[in-house]
Amino acid sequence: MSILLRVFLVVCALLVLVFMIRRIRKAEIHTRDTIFWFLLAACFVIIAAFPQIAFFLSRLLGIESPANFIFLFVIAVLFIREFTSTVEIAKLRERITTLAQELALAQAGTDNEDAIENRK
Amino acid sequence: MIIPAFNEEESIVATVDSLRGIASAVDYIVIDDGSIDSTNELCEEHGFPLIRLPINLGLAGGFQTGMKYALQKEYDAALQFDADGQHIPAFIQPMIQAMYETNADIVIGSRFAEGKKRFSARMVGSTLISGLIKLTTGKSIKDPTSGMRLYNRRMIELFANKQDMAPEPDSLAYCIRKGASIVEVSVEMQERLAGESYFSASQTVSYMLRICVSILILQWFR
Repeated sequence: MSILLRVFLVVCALLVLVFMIRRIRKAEIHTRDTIFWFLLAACFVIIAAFPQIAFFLSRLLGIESPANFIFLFVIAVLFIREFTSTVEIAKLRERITTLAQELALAQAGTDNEDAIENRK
Repeated sequence: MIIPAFNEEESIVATVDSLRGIASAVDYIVIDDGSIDSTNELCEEHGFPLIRLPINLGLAGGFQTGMKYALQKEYDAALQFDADGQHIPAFIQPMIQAMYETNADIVIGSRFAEGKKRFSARMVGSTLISGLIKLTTGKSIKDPTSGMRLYNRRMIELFANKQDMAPEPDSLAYCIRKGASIVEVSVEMQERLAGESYFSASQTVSYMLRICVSILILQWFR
């Protein structure tokens, strides 16, 4: 694993860190949403610091170069992330739908009561 | 009777008026699915019973609101009816009749119950969906994409409480597999008076893809 790739990983980790801290300052994301990204950045730093890990794992999986292993690792992590995001979005959509429906039904209920009151 | 309406200012009044004349024995409710035109004002002006959704939920969410309302008010049956003037109120009574006689869970107002389908791109899609339903459930439904459907109490409960139940062909297949009986009654339909379909041409491909995948694959895990 070239020194360049290791530097690149550390730079990426720093960028993630800076980006997250700026967003938290602006209160655009919640702290609990950032944990994943901090862990990912930590992984980058660990692999950069101890390339042996990448060597070991790539040998284990029969991948020729550790750089390829890192690509695979990142892609896999992002896949999982994307999947959980899809689930999360579906949950949110369902909640919004239910809220809107309950609100509309409650509103229609009071409107009808008003109409009956007025008729009296 | 549930009339989901999204931006139907040009046709909603005509639709509801025509229905009040002929099918006066049924209650109806307009579901305004967060329209951004004057659909809401028109309905209030004319005193139509109305549920106004604060945001646009799409056909599935709008229709489900109607089902929840029907469940709350303890109706025995609910009819899905388009606001755009495609559906003809004169055919409502025969559908209700059919439900009484056959004790079906769902009665579909079918354009092809008798007679042949005219050949067009839409009909190809319809035939394909029919085929898939036949393949997966063994039941033959001639007009699965018809938007004029009558549901009994059991189906009202199902559609009101279960998420991911759009009033679309894949839900029909799901209901059949859950033991619902479906009957088709021959109806005619008109060209829409006005307004945009929920499915524009560009959305048709993704609609077909979604329905096909849903019937063929996802159905077994629901």
